Amino acid sequence: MKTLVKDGFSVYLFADDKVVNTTAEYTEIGSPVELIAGDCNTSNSVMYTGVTAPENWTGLRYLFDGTTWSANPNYVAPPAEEEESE
Amino acid sequence: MAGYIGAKSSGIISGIDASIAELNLTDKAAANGVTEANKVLTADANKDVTAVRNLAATGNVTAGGAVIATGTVTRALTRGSIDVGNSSGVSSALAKGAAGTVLTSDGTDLSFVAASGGGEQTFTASGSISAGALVGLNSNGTISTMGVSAGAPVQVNPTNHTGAHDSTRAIVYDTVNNKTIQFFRNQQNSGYLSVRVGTVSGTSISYGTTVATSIQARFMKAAYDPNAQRAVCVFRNDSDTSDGYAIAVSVSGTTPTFGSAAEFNNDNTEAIDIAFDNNANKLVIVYRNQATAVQAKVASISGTSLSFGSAAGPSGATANSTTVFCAFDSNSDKVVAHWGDSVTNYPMAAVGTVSGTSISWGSEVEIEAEAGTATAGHNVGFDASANKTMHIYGVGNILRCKIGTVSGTSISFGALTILTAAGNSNANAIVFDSNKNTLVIFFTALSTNFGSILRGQISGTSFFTTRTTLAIENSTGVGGIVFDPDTNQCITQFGNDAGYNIESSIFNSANPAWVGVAAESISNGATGKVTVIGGISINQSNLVTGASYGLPLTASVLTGGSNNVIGTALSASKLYINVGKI
Repeated sequence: MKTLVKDGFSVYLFADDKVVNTTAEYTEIGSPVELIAGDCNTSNSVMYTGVTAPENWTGLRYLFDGTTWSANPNYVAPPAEEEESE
Repeated sequence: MAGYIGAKSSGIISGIDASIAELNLTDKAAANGVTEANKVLTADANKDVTAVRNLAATGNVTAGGAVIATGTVTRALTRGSIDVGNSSGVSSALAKGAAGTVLTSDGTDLSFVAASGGGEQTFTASGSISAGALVGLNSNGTISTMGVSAGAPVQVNPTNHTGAHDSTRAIVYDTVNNKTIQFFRNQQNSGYLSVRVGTVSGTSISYGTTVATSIQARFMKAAYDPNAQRAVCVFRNDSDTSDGYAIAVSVSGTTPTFGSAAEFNNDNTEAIDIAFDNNANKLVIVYRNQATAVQAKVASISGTSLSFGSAAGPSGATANSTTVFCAFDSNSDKVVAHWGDSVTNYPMAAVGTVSGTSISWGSEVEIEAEAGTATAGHNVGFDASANKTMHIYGVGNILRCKIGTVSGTSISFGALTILTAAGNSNANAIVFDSNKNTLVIFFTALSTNFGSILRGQISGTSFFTTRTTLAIENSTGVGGIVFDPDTNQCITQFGNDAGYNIESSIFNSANPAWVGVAAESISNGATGKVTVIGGISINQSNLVTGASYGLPLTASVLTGGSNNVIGTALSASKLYINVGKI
C-alpha cells in the first residue's frame, strides 16, 4: 500500500499499483483520472510507499511521518447514519 | 261587375279592367254552377289570396313574408340528409355522417364528427398542437403540448455507496459559466468535501471529474456570487472540532478549483445557510452556534479567499439543530432568515440589513404559533416577481407555507396555505422559476417517498399551488433545487435512498399542467377541442386494448404502463381518459 500524506496527515491510502500523479497544483488519481485531490500538491503532500496502515484507517484519522502512525487527536468519527435533514 | 268572364276553352282570362279586389275570384263551382275538384285563387278585399288546393308551380315561388303550412311540407332530400342553414342564410342539405359519428357544432356550422364519448372542452392553443397530443394548461389559460417532465437521474458522485448516506450536499447554478456546481460529502472517500461541475444539455447533465478536498464536511449549503464569479460552500468541519467553515470554488470548463477553507465560527456549528446579497455584493451566512443562538456573518470574497465580518443575530433567537435558512429579498435589499424556535418549535423569521461587512437584524417574528411544527423540513425562498418570501414548514405530515412581506426591518405574513397533506419531509427545498414566475417546491411524497414538485404563484399574500407533480421515481432524500435560466429548467439534487447515492436530474418546470388529449389539431392561437377526464380520445394509434397508458417522466408521448397513467385503451385508436394526473 501507499499513502498520500498532506501536512502530516494521511489523507489517502492506495494500492501499490494505483496511478497517482501529484503536481504543483493538485493530485490526479487513477488512469484515466477518476478523482482529483484538489488541495494536495507537491508543496504540502508526500507519497510514502510500502506502508501498512492501521486496520481502521480512514482519511485524517492518523498522522504518518514516513515511519510511524499516530492517532489524530482532533479526529471526530462521523455518526454511523447521518440525518437526512442536514 | 259580376258573372262568369273569359273563355273556358282558352283557359286564359284577359281584357279585364278591374283590380284584384274587384275581381273577387271565388270557387268555380259557385261561379259557373259546375262542381269541380279544383279551386282557383280567391282574393279578398285586403288582397290576401287564400283557398289554394294543390298548387303546382313550374317556376320559382318566392314569398316576401312567412310561409305557414298546416300540412306537411316536403322537398327532395337524400336519405339521412338534414336541412341546415348555410353561410348565405338559406337552407342547405347536410349529408349524413359515417356510421358512429355524431352531429356537433363549431359555434358556426353543424357537422358530423366521430363520437368521442363526451368530456371535451375548448381551449386556445399556445404553439401548434397535433390531434392526439397530450396537452397541459399554462398559467395564462392557454394550452400547450406536454413536454418531458424530468430527465433521467444522473449519479453525481461516481462512486457507489454501500452503506451510510451521502447525507450532506449542496447545489448552486453558476450563471456566469452556465454550469451546475454540486457539493457533497463523499462517504466512500473518508467523508471528504467534494465537488463536481455539471453541464446541462436538454434534460440531461454531464459532469467533469470529481475534485475533493481533504476536509470532512457536513451540514453543507452553498450560494453563487456572480460578482466574484465564485460558488461558496458553507459547512461544519468535522476535521476541526465541528467548527463552521466556508470555501470558495471557481470553475473553468467543468473543472472546479477550491480556494482555502476559512473558519467563520470557532465552535460547534450546525444548521447553516448562505445567500448572496446582490445589493451589497456580499454573501451572508446564517447559522446556529453552539449555544443554539441564530447568528449571521457577512462574507467577502477576494480572489479565492474569504473573510468575515462580526457575528450578529436577531435578539433572543434560538434555533433547532436543522432549521436555519435564509434568502435574499432583492426588492427590499434585505436578508430574511427563517428558523424553528429551539423551545416552541414555532417557525420564526427576522429581517437582516447588510452594511459594509456587518449585518443588523430586526426583531424576530412568529410565522405561526403552531406547537406541532416539525423540527425539520423548513425552508425559505424569494419570489422576485411578487417580491415576497415563501416560508415552508411541516406540521406532522402536512407541508404548510406562509407568504412574507418585508417592510423596513420587519416582516409580516399572510394566511396559512396547506401545500400538501402528505408531503412534509425532513428536507424541503424552494426555488424561484424566473421564466414562469413561479415558486417550485421540491419535497418527498409521504406515500411513495418519491421526489415530488409543487408549483405555484403568489397572489396578494397567499400562495396558490398546482397539484403535486412527480419528479423522481425513486425513494428520495431532498438535497436542493436550483433554477437554470439558460435552459429554463430546474435542477434537483437528492439522495437516492434506495442506493444511497447522490443524484441529480432536470425538472421541466415550464411544462404545463396536464388537462387532456387534443381532440383535433389546433394552430397556434386558435381554439380547439381537448378530450378531458371522462372522455374518449379517438385519434390514437397502435394502442393495446385494455392496457393502461400515460406519460412517464422522461417521455413526451403517450406510453403504455407508466406511473403517470391517464387512461385505458378501448381499442387501437381509442383511449378512455378515466384516471390520472401528470
